[in-house]
Amino acid sequence: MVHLVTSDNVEFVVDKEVVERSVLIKNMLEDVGETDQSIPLANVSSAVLRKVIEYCEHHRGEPLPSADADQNQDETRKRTTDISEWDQKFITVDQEMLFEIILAANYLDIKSLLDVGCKTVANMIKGKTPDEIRRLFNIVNDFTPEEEAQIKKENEWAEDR
Amino acid sequence: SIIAEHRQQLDAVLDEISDLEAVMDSVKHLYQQVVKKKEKIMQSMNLHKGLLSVLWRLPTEVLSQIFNHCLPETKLWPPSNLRAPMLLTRICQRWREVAVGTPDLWCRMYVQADNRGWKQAAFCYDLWLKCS
Repeated sequence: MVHLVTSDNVEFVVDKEVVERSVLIKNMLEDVGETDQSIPLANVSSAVLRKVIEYCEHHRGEPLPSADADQNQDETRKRTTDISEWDQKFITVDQEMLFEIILAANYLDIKSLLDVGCKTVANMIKGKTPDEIRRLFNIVNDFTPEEEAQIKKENEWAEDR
Repeated sequence: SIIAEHRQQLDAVLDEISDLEAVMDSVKHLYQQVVKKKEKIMQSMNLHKGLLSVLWRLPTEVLSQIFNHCLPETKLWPPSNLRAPMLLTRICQRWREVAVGTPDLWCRMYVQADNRGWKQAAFCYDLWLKCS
């Protein structure tokens, strides 16, 4: 069993097989060897780690994506809608939690979870206008008038296609 | 003497008008100052509002990965400002910077051979190739 301590000082005791879906923790454990000492996760809160562990528990035993999986991404890019039913349900959370999970998956190096998070955000972006996207994610249009003019020029060509 | 009296009255009215115009000018000046101040506060507020966006905290490589998943699923697609990658350059400065700086988004180009606006098309194909 592995002891993990979150940023808000909550301790989780997790099965090694489950927690090793995180490449970061797997490497840490390989470097340190067998230990009862807790691993501090300064960038992850207990609420988020609970979700991450839930994901890792569900996917326990599944083969980890290989390191060179990105290399032939262009050939094998999976459909963005290609998220399993369980994963879709799992990732149906509020926006704040969704981004926290993505940040945690990136920090802990859990590729498959990061992928699910990124695909979910991509699906939220697709089919929306710039204004709708800005409203959805609370993004401010900070383009200067010169940049706006350049964008207009670039987009005239592809307008309404 | 009646004329002189009327002239005096007229002068007094003109003075009054001139005083009122001076007051109006200073009110106008004050209004302009308030408008400027409001614009400054709005700018600062928008900047802070942007920082509140959780998306702001995502590292560039993660945002870039999200953008990759935004590409249409078909192998070839006609460029459209309503779809990635062009759509992603129209949201804010950071998204534009990340989208333009992610060559994977621009590695496929659909060229339509027609005469419609060929100069504009050449300009955009050139930009597209520079990003790839």
